[in-house]
Amino acid sequence: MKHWHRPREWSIASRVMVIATVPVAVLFVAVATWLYVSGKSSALLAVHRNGELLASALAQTSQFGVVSGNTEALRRSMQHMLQARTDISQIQILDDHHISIATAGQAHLDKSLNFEQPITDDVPDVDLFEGSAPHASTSNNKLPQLRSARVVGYVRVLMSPEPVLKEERLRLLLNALVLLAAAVVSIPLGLYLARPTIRSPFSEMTHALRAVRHGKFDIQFKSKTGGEIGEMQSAFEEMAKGLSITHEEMQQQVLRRTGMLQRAMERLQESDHERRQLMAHSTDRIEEERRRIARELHDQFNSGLLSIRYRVCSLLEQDGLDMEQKEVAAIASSIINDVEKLYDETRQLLKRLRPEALDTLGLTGAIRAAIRTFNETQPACTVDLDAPASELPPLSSKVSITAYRVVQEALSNILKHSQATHGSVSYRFDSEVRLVVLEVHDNGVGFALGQKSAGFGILGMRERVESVGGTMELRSAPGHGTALSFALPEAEPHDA
Amino acid sequence: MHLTDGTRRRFLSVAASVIAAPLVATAASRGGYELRVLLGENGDTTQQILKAITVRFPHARIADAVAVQDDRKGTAVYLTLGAAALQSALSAGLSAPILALFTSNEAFTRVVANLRPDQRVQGISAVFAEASPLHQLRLVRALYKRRVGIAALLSAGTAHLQSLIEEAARANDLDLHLRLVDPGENVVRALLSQRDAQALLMVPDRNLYTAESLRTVLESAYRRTLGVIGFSPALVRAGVLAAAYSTIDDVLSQVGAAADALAQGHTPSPQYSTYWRVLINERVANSLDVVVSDSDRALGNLPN
Repeated sequence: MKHWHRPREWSIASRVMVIATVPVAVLFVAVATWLYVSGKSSALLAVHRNGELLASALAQTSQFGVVSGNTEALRRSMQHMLQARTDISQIQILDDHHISIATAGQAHLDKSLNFEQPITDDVPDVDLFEGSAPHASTSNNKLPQLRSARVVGYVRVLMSPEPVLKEERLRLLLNALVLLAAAVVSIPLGLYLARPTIRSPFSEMTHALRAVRHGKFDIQFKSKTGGEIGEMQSAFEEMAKGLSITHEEMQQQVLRRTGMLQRAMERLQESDHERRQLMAHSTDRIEEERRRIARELHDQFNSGLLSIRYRVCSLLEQDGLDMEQKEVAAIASSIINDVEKLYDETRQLLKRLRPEALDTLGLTGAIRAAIRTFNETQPACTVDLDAPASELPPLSSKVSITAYRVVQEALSNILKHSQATHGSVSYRFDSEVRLVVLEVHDNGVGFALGQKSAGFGILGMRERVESVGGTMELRSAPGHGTALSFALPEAEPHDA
Repeated sequence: MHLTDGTRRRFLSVAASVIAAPLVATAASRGGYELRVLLGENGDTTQQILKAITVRFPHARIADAVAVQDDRKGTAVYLTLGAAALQSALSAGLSAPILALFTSNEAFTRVVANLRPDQRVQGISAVFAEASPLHQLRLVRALYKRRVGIAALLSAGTAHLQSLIEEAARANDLDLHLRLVDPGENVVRALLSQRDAQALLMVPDRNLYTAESLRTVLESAYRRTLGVIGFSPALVRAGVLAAAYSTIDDVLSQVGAAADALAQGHTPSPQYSTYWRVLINERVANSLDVVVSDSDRALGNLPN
């Protein structure tokens, strides 16, 4: 047995079949029922009317037979009526005491309808010179009027609706057969008509939907039609076209985003690589600095201390008292020179480790000193300072040293790489965002951004600025110099 | 049409005021007697008769109360209109002669026959309302144009007409099939028994021909192809083949002579009007294959 699907799951063919058959079936049942009910009602009504009419007509025509006693004529008339009409089961003529004087047909009392009419002796209004009023033939030309006088008998007609109903049923059966034949013809006709107009367009649309689901947006319906379905087809084609365009745009966007992501990944990897290189470089620098400090301590400090030890030992090995004052003074003077030299070297070493000017002159003073030193030692390039009249607010030690170091590094880069003839340094405090803004420009050769050969100086500056919560911006192009901009907070963040 | 008492009184007072004065003045000119008209039941027919009387006898006195008329002095002849008036006049025991008008032979005979011995008047005569059977049978002969059988039904009330009808049949060369119908006998069945007749003679007879029986009689006659000869135009309109009849004027044309005779102490026999005419139902004639000629339509005896 075929599985029964719910109506919502029916195919188009099933739906068309149902649409074609159900209304016809309902119409057929309704029309057949109506024909039966109305036909039966009409038949019964006709029987009633015929019964009343027959009884009335017989009452009119039976007057003579009843009065004259000529029942044979009555019986003949009744037999003619019985032969003419099948719905009459019996006709009775009764006298005025309801005693039968003539009967024709057989009564079916259980099913018959009884119609009775009085037979009246209609009297013409004619002067028959019988009364006590004057008898005269007057000039009255009016036709005599009839008036009902006494009842001389009764006509009883027993009507049987069965023959009429039987005819009605036969007629209904024929009608039903005709209707059924029409329905049987109309169903395949409806399906045939529905095929090009409903079924094929919807079937094509279903296929098109499946194609769209699989990413095929080039939809062209073969069986174009008009009306709402045609409108739906056009709308569907336009929608598929729109979907196709959107799909392509999205694909392009995905490609673009993927490229961007790839580039970002590459930059991240590159940055990571640079970071690792920077760490390695920093480690090298630290080791180099340690070695330098060790070498300086070994070469300068140790040798100086050994020299001082030697001179002091020479003083202790010889009787100092035996030495001439001059020799002692010379050894002492030599020791003093050595100590002073050690002191200078120690200061230089400390200066490199932490700028002294920063503590003594403050940030602005240290920057001025650095620029002054640069201009004194580098006559080929002049660097200007653009400083505001007001002083910077107090900055934390780490921020101050960061600012000083990045200016030092920028000046170093101008010296090393820019081949510039002029440079400038400016600083100001943006009170709205509470940031110290440092800018360093030069008119050197510049370089293309993104080049790997930007050097560790730039990376170091960025690392240093970001370590205190600041930002760095680099603008440069080949032949157009370089501009560095730093924005530093007043104090580093607590988690920095 | 029945008049109310008020209308009747107004009519009589007007008629009396218009008519009474000239009557008194001219009464002596009518052979020295006064015509006194007694009314019975009033109605349309009575009004038509009175109208005709006042034209023909302007000096006649009219009243509906016998006592009023009888109070007057002098010789008089009473004209009674209808059976009721005749009955009233006879019941009043009038001393003057009576001429019964507009009463059928059957009604006149019945009223007179029912008189008590003390109600007899000196002179009583009549001019009957209907045409004579002789004239009716002349019409039959004229219509059928050959000797045919003529049926006649008589009851006890009209049995006295038998000889008159037989004589009329003989005079008109017709085969008479006369049947006396017993009281209680069905007139239709009696008619159906007359198998050899081609026509039926109808005379006024309240025992046989009533409004209730007329339709059946006519239907029976038609089924038997009997041409019915009636006695009034109303019967022709009701469906009889033809009628010989006397109009109001036909009857009144004969009143003068009869009244004069009665005033002079002679009592003429009750008589049919000598003036008569015919009316033929062309449809019935056509149905019965009776050919009607213009001479048939012109049959009768009209007053000059």
